[in-house]
Amino acid sequence: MKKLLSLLLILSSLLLLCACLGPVSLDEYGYVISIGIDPGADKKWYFTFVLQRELAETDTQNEGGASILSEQADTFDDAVTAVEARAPYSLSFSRTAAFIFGREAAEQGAASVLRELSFDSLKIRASAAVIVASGTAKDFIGGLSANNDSNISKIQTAVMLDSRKTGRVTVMSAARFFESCETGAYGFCAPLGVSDPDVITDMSEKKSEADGKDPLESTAPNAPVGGLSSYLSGTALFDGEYMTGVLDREQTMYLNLANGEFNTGTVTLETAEGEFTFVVTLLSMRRRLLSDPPEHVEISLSLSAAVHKAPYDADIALLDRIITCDLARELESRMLFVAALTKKAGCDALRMGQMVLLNSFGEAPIDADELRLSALKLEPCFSVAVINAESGAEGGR
Amino acid sequence: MRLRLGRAGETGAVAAAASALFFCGVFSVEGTDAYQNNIPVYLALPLSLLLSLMPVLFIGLAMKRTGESSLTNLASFALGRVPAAFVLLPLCAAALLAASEPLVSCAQVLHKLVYDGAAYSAVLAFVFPALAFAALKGFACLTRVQLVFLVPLAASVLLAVSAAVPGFSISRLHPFPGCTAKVFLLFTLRGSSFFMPVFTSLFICAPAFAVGGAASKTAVRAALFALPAVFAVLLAIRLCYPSSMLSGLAMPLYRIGLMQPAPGFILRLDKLMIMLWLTGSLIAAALLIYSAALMFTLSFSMRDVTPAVVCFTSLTLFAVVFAVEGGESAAHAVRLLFNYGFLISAVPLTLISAAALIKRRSA
Repeated sequence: MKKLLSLLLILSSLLLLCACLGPVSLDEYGYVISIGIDPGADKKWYFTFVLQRELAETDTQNEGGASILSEQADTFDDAVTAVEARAPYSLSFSRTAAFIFGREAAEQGAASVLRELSFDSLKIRASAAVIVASGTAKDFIGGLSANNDSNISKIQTAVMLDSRKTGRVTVMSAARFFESCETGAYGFCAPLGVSDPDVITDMSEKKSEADGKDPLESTAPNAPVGGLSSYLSGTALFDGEYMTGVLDREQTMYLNLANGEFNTGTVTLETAEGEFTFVVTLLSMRRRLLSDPPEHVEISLSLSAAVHKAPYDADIALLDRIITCDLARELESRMLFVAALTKKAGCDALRMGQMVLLNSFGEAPIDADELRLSALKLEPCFSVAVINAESGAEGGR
Repeated sequence: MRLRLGRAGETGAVAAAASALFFCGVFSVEGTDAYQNNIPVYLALPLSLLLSLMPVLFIGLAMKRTGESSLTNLASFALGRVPAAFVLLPLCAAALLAASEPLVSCAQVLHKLVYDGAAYSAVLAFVFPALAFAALKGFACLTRVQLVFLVPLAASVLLAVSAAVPGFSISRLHPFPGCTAKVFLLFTLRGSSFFMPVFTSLFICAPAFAVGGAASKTAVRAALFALPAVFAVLLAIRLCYPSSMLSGLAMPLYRIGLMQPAPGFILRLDKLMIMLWLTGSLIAAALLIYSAALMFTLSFSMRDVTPAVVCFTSLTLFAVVFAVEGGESAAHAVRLLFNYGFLISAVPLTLISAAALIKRRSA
């Protein structure tokens, strides 16, 4: 027993090994939590590094928050070297959670910077999210850190999670970007970030109140108040390394629905009987390649819908008809429209490449470009069946 | 005699052997060109595991027929004391090589992804005392320790795999099978070199079991536990990454959850998990080192296993350092060992059991 205990003790002490080799004080690192990339004026790119400001235990005045460093450079390594020369610490990328590309940079193929990076040597986790800002990455980052919150990573995570709850944002990692470029199995889709300078952020409200002023005094009458001025609102579509199109929030929801990456969301429907709003939940999704007609993929979805808003005189029979027929057909046509948009952008956002792979299992490996072309040739056809969550009435083709 | 065998329970021995099979199987694939050649490793390695059981069961049969209590005694009976010592030497080498393989993966991840620029020698300097100490404690103690560690090890692997489930895609298995039958079978045969030393170690330490013939039963039970685990984890890795991204990726299990952004605490658990897996690999390596040392000690009629354990631990860590820092020559040596390594175990085991059975029959 003594032997066993001593061996357990010595083996358990290995768990503490992580603190023993090359210990470095937290103050000696600047933890980069986001990296922004925009086109540069003199050099190829303008890199923005968002650092989590670490607080000393005794510091009670500051709230932490972010500090931002930026540099123009042709490569990522040059930017890091230049920034480290200015900063009194070295940059650590072990907590990097997001790469943010300005729209112009994304359209110029800035995402190729990711493929030049050595994620292992920089210790960046490949699960870091890739975001495209509709304006510049710098503005988007500014909006994210405008509240001076003590934990920027938490804000980033919250932004993603909140948006995913509505089904109106698609989230993909850097690893997915590599896979998309290397294999062509699907088109890369990044969340599209918007920075709205009119938003009166929590911090500016707080500051005005502290100064004894009305925070809404000098603002436009309909300006949005509270929260962050940067948020996610749509999808950026990529053809390989280049951004080629965008989807808005609602279109993103139909893209997620078509991909089966949807939990629940609201759909509004205009009919002759009035305006209806439903809370739609995805129950199941199935895809299969059709032989007749050829080069078509049938995407069958089973959904349930609960009435959120309806005209006061709508009876159960009407609701059943609207949900099982009108809503189902409307969802099919909206998804077809989104499919056409993604195809126009040359992006296999509906992941038809995966269908091609699944149907050529026993064959030789397919080249990424060849796969991309085959995937874009496939036409989706949707078959939606919606159940009325309240009455249990079922519909479908 | 200070052989430190002790009395091992069957449950503990099954836990120790199954964990060693798991770590030797899952963490040893990276050094091979498996993913580059599109080999369905998730099928090939479980088959290798079954294949490696064959010569070992042959040994079990020979031990049963001859009534010998351990592999060393069986070899002496079959070939005579001096020739047996030299025939058993390749088995010692195979055990040390198998011990070094999971440690190579752990050392690479610790060096590349955990510690900022810590040299391999510094990382391994921490590992050496624990490894030597564990190996010195002997077979029975190691089996009990592995039994205790089995729960956190299984939980950590389950957690890592389950966190990755949302990122699974069956299309990543394309192309299937991806290689010719010849390439697949050759890989399966070669892959048995990862598992054979673990099974062999049970027969070397057979006197530690209270019941005769328990080594064969333990080997079969350990294989039955390890086989689905190896299959499931390797399949999960392939469902997460296309083969083009896996070639050259050190310890894919460590990064299994990186395909999708995973906010929350799971992502931050990876450092803790690598330490747990290092502990598991370390106990597996200690078991192999101890069995090699015991075989060496008994073959050369030494009375104390300690010098051989210390010497073999150092040799194993030298092999790890060579594999990770040896550059092109190390890569060449690793490839050579993978290609012909299975012969180092299979030939002596078959020779010993065949000779023993023939001798028994003629007697």
